[in-house]
Amino acid sequence: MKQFLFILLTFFAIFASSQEKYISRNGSIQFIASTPLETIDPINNHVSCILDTENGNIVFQLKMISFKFEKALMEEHFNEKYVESERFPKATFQGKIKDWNTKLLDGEKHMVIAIGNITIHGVEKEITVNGIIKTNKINIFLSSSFDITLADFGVEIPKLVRDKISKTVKVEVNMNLKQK
Amino acid sequence: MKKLLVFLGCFFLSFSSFSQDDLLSFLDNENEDNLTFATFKSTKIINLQSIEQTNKKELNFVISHRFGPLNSGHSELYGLDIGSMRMIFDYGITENISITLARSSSEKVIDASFKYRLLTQGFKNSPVTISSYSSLFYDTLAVQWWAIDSITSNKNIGFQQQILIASKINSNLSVQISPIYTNYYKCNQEDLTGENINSLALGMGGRYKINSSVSINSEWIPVLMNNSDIIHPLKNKDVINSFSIGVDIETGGHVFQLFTTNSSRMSDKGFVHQNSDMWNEGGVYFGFNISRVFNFN
Repeated sequence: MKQFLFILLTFFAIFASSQEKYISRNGSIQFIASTPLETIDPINNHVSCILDTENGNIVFQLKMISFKFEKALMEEHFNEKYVESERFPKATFQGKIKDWNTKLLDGEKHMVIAIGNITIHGVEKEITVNGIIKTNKINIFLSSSFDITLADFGVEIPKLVRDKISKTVKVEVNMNLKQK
Repeated sequence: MKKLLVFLGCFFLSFSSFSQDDLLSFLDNENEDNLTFATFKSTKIINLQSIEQTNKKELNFVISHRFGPLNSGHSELYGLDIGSMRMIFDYGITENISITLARSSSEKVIDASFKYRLLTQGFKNSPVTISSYSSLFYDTLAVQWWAIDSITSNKNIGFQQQILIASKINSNLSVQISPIYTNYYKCNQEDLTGENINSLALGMGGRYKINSSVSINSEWIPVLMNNSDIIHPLKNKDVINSFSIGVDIETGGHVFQLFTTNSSRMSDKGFVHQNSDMWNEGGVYFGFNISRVFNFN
C-alpha cells in the first residue's frame, strides 16, 4: 500500500511537473549576413527551445556547428575563425515573455515581447525581442525576427573580407513547440 | 509515514515550477557526438596527404608549383628560374569519399587516387580520425625506357596505400602519422635495368596555428624498409628522406601553402622514395600550392 501510494504520488508529481512545459528540439533559426558580394544565409534546424506556460519563462539553445551553409568552406570558416565553435559550442537565450498570461494561448495570434540574455561566442548580452505566438490544440508556434551586431559579441571580421560580410545580422526564428 | 509522504509530495511537486537555468539543463543532450572539424586547413599537410578531404560535390583544383634547388647557384637565381608543376583535380563524391586525378610535369607521372574516411575524431569519443588513401601511378617516361627491356611488363605502374591517422589535440595543434606501403619499379636510367621494390615508410606531420588565418606545418617521411632491408631513419646513407616545413595562409576562399622541402618530386610515390637532394647540402626547394574550389551543389 505504501509503495503503491509512493508510486502514485511520483507519477502524479511528474505529470503535474511536465504538463506546463512545451518543448522542441528541431526548431529553425536562420541568420542572414548577406552582402551584394556574397550570399550568407545559413540555417540551423536543430534548435532546442522550452517554454514554461506557467510563468512564461523561455529558453533557447543551439549548437553553432549545426548551422548549414551553402558552401562548405564558408561553414568551416564560420566555425573555425568567426564564432570559434570549439571554444564556444553553444548559443543560448534565457528569458521571459513579458506580461505572460494564459490568454496568450487562446489560439489567436498575439504579439509578444521577450526579454532576456542572449549568449553568443561566450559574450552575454541583454536583449529585447518582438515575436508572435500562436497556438492550436497541441502545438505552440513561435516566430521572431531581430537584428544583432557582430561586434557586440566579439566576432571579428578580417579586413580582407570586410565587404563580403554584413556587420549586422538578421536572425529569423521559427519554433513549433509540443507539450512535453 | 504521512509526514514522509507529504514531504515527498512537496519535493516532487516543487519540480513543477522551473527557473530558467533548470529549463536550460532540460535541453542539454549529452548523447550527441561532437565531431572534430578542420584538423588541417588543406587536403595536404605539405606533400603528405592530410585527413582532410574535398567536400561533397565540390571540385578542388590545385596547382602545386616547385622551384629549383637553392644550391643551383646565382645563375639560376637560387632555383627560382626553374619550375615544375603538378595539376590536381580532386572531387568529393560523398562527405567521406573523394577521388583525385593528377599529373606531375617533372616526373611525367599520372596518378589516380581514392581517399576514404573511415572514422572521424569525436565519433563515440574516438581520439583520432582515420582515413585510407590509395593511389595508382602511371609513369609515362618509363614506357620509353622499359620498351627496350620488356614490352610485356607492367613496370611503368606503381601502387601506394596509406593509412592516415590524425588527431586534433587542441584547436591549434594537430598531428598525424601515416604508414605508407609502396610497390614500384626502381628504374636505373643508365643501363635500363630495374628492380621491383616493396617499401614501407612512415609519414609524420603536424600543424600549429599561430592565429586564425596562419598555421605552421611540418612533416618528415622516413623510409623504414625496402624489400627485406630494414633502414635506420637517421643513420642510413642510401635513402634520403623527405623533410618539409611551411606555412598555410588562409584568405577568404583560398588556402595558400608556402613551403620549403628537399623533395623535388610531387607525386605521392616521388616525394617518399625518389629524393636526391639533402637539406644540409642546400638541396632545398621552395614551393607553393594554390587551390580553387568549384561548387556543384
